[in-house]
Amino acid sequence: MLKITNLHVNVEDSEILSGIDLEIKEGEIHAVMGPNGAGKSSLANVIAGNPDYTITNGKMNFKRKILNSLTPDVRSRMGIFMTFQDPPEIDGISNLQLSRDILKAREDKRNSSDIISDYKKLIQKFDLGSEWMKRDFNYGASGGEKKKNEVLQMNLLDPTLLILDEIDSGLDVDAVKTISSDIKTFLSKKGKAALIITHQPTILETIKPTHVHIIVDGKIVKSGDKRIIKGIIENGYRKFS
Amino acid sequence: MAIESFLKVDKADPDWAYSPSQYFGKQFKMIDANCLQIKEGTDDIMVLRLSPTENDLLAKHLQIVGREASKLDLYIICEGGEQTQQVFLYNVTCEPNSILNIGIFVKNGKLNKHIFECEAYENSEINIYGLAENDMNGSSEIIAKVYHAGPNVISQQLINCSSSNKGRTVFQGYVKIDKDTNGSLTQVSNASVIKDETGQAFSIPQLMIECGDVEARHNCTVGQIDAESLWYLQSRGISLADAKKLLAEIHQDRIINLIPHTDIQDEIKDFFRD
Repeated sequence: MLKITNLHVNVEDSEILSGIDLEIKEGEIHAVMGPNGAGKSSLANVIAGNPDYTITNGKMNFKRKILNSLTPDVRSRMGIFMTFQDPPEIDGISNLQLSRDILKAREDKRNSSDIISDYKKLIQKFDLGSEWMKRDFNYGASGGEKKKNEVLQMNLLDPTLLILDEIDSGLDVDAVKTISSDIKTFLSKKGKAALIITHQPTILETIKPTHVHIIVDGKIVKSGDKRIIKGIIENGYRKFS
Repeated sequence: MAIESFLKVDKADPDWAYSPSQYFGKQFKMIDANCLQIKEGTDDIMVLRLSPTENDLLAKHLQIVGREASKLDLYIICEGGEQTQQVFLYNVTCEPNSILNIGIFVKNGKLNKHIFECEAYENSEINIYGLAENDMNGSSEIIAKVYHAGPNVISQQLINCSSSNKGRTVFQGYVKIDKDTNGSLTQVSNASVIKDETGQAFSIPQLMIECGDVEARHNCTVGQIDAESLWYLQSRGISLADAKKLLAEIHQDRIINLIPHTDIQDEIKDFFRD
């Protein structure tokens, strides 16, 4: 589904990813772990197409198309969805209305009443409260509510490749359980894959990764299966530095 | 500063450059002077659609008087053309216990300038809110001067602006709260958005308070469309052009949604989005 080859990326004049190779196939769940500033979120942002990042070398293929020069909206409509660490607050438009606008831009076939019905079910599932639809987008929302809103949108947009950028940060234990169990169900559907960026192994107890990568200083320094996580819990990242 | 010199600014005033005095006289041709008067104890809604087509330098003058205990919701909608240079001067009086809500919606024009000179007497309320937009190498300007002439006056100025394509917007919001006008409340708020590299925005709030027992706030910002929100919307499948348009409309809606009449809301949305 996604194949990254020798990816080098700059922000302004600094190289932050230095030769990443990664392949994610349908049905796989890849966890990327590493210390602060290692380049984990940068990798997520580059795949999603954040214009602040410049690819200086290498190639990204998604569903056999080269991603490098595609704009973020095109990548999104192809099925890539990244959850934001700190989603913006946009006052002046309600949560529901912005979701409608997003679905319209994606030429979603659902009519207005179907969207409202789906939206209401998701609000209930994530315990966001009956006023959530009318509230301005993320405006005045807690960190936990914003993260739940990200997962709500994931459900609404039904992407193929899910990129979770520290979806567990700032959440209480119960919220992590709700979100991770929902993501697990989502990923069990046919044709899905995920890249999970995380510091903490807790979320990986529910969403069990098929592959684990350790990234340090912009490079993948170790790849393997979930047994790597045990080593991280016991020894941290020091031995990879 | 006395009321006369506040409302009829002279060359000694630092904001003389934007004073209406320069438009009345040799340079600009004064074409009419109308008076809009709301009778005592009455309640009215009025929409003025001003769409100048003449290419002369024109100045128009309108007097608005809210008699005691009256209420008026006035909407002014004005679109300028590529060559139109026009100045609109509104002399506004709020008599005791009156309420005046003025919505001012200004789009394009080489010069499309609206100046409100308002006197508000005890227990009256004046709210001036609106939008100024210029996307055509001209200047859309809203200048409001509100003079609190009595106690317990409430005044608000809430203006959002947006500019692009070498267009410019100007907002100047002045409030003077005179001595012995306890219990006044005033707020001046402006958010100006520059939508591309060529737009310009000027935002100048000024509060002059000569009384102790008042509540006064101002909040003026000038900036580009929020890059983080743009990136977020793109990551959800909205193109860059549509994301910019959507955020610009949201910026407008923050003001338009204040209008209590949905038919007028719709008209103003259409006005800006055609």
